[in-house]
Amino acid sequence: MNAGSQRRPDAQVDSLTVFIAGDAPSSRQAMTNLTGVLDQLGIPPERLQVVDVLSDPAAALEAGALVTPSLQIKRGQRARWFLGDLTDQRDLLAFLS
Amino acid sequence: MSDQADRNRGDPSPAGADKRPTGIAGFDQLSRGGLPAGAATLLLGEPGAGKTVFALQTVANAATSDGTGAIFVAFEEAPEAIKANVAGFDWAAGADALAGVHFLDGRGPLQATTTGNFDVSGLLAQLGELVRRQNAGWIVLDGLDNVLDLLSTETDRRREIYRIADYVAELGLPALITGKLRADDAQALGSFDAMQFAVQTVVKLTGRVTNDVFGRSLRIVKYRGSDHDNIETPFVINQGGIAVAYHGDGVPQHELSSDRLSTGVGGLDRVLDGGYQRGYAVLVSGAPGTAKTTLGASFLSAGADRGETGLLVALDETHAQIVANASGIGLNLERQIAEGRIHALSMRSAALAPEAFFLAIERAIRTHQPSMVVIDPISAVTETRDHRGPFDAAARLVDFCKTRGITLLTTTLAEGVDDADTRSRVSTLADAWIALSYQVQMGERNRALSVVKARGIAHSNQVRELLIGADGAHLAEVYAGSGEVLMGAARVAQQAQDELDDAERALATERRRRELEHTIAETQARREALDAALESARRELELTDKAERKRQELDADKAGRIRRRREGDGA
Repeated sequence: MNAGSQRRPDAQVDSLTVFIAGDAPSSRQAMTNLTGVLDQLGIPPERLQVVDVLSDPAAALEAGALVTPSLQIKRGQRARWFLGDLTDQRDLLAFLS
Repeated sequence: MSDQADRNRGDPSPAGADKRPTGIAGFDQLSRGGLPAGAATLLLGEPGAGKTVFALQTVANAATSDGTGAIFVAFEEAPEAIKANVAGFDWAAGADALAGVHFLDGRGPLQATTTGNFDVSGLLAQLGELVRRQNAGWIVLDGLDNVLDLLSTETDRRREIYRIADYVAELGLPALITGKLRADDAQALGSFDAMQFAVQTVVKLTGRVTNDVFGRSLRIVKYRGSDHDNIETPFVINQGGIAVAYHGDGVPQHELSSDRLSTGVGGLDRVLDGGYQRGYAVLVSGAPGTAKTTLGASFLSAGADRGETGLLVALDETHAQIVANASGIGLNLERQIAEGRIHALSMRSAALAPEAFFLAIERAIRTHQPSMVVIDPISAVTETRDHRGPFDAAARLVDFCKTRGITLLTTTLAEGVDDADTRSRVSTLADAWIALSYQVQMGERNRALSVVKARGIAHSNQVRELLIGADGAHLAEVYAGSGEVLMGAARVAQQAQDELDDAERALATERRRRELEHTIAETQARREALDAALESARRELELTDKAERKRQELDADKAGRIRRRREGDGA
């Protein structure tokens, strides 16, 4: 961890999970925006786990995902949430960079 | 509105198939059975109005009464904090009290970063999953405004509100959604303004300060497709949680029996043709020191001796003081309280709304099930406040007692009973009204008692003297002298004079009697002497007559013999 700032961003997070609701417009918008962010940061898309709360409500319950779309980023035991369709990406980029 | 009888009985109306009872005293009557069974109800109120308590009490009651589970999503406070806040209520006491309620911490979004448009599909998905897993019968979304306010536009908020309301209807479950009103003008925040249209039922809780006293009230603003009472109704939050001061909208149905309860005051039972009627509301009015409390204590104590159960409510005085005073006149309230035959309750009137008193008393009545209740003095609540409220509250308490056949005795501080306003107000509270006063005669004050009214009882309206001694209270025999009732020293003086007069009269009578007896004896003797003389004269007369007849016979015989001799000689 001592050389954290030099490491690739994908190594700084343990998991990336996005919760969507079927093909709701905001969920589709979020997927588009998120793909762009990951690409921009060089995070491989396979690191992103996608949960559709409509088909997997148990996962939503377990993670405590109350709104869709929402992105949960875990670092160790800590989870950070970004709600919404990621139209505003500044906080997310700052967090992942 | 129909006039179902059970509405007036203080018991919940039977919930229809389309309603779920809240189990909150008074609210189920107000709403004619509870909240919609398959739809969302919006509960609006300022911070601290009691929304969360209302919601949690409702689901706790459902869990207790028929084991119905609930999902409680806490958007504003941590579930642990909510549980701690309600732990003091009866229905939340004990480790398992809220076991049937599944809490979900919904504060996540508050700590998250908002990046754009979103919806509450995740919440709905979780609710669906939880309802399935827990077999829940109630849903509570507590503080939903916290999430909705994260949405950027009014249109988005409105859309999500309709989605939630629709989803609840789809699940077919009753749901309580709480939301804040602005404290300054009691208007709903933007989201809830829209929500009032989306839900079937809206209940508004408010709290305001009147005459320096904080009072709560609630109103069913809207209840689509259901009869309900939409009046602003006071409620309190006490140890039992929320209790709404509503006992029905129809004609009160009271159970009066012909059974009579002793007043505990010697002589008063006779005046009232046997005592207070069971189920009576008795009002004892009078100036300070006229023994109002004594009448209450005497009634309770006499009843407890007969095996009845009593409740003593002391306002602005400790019941220990009443007990101590009562022991001075031979009433053993202390033992009766120790033995559980009388329950005592002390309350301070200063900082509470009238409703708070009466609901606290109702609560004590529900707990102890007394057949006699004494409130001393009820004027501590009714007289120092503004106009109608306290009397309405007191009238509801009277109603509450009557429907249970409880005999209620209240005392009130009143200088006189001639004030028309007091008369009309008091009349509504009392079947029997006993007025106590002082009467000044011969430079002293004596307690006077009169029965102003006693519904359905043949009673004397004579003013009597009330005496209080070591053996309790009793009425002195009426002593009327020159057109007024004499009391105290005047009565004693008059009694002494009358006794003297009596003695003199008796003496005179005796003297006259003896004279007459003497006369009779004398006359009798004279009569006997005369009788004897008469008899003697009669006897004398008889003898005289006899002698005369004999002489005549002899004379006749003698003449015969002479004639015969003469005739013989001549032959």
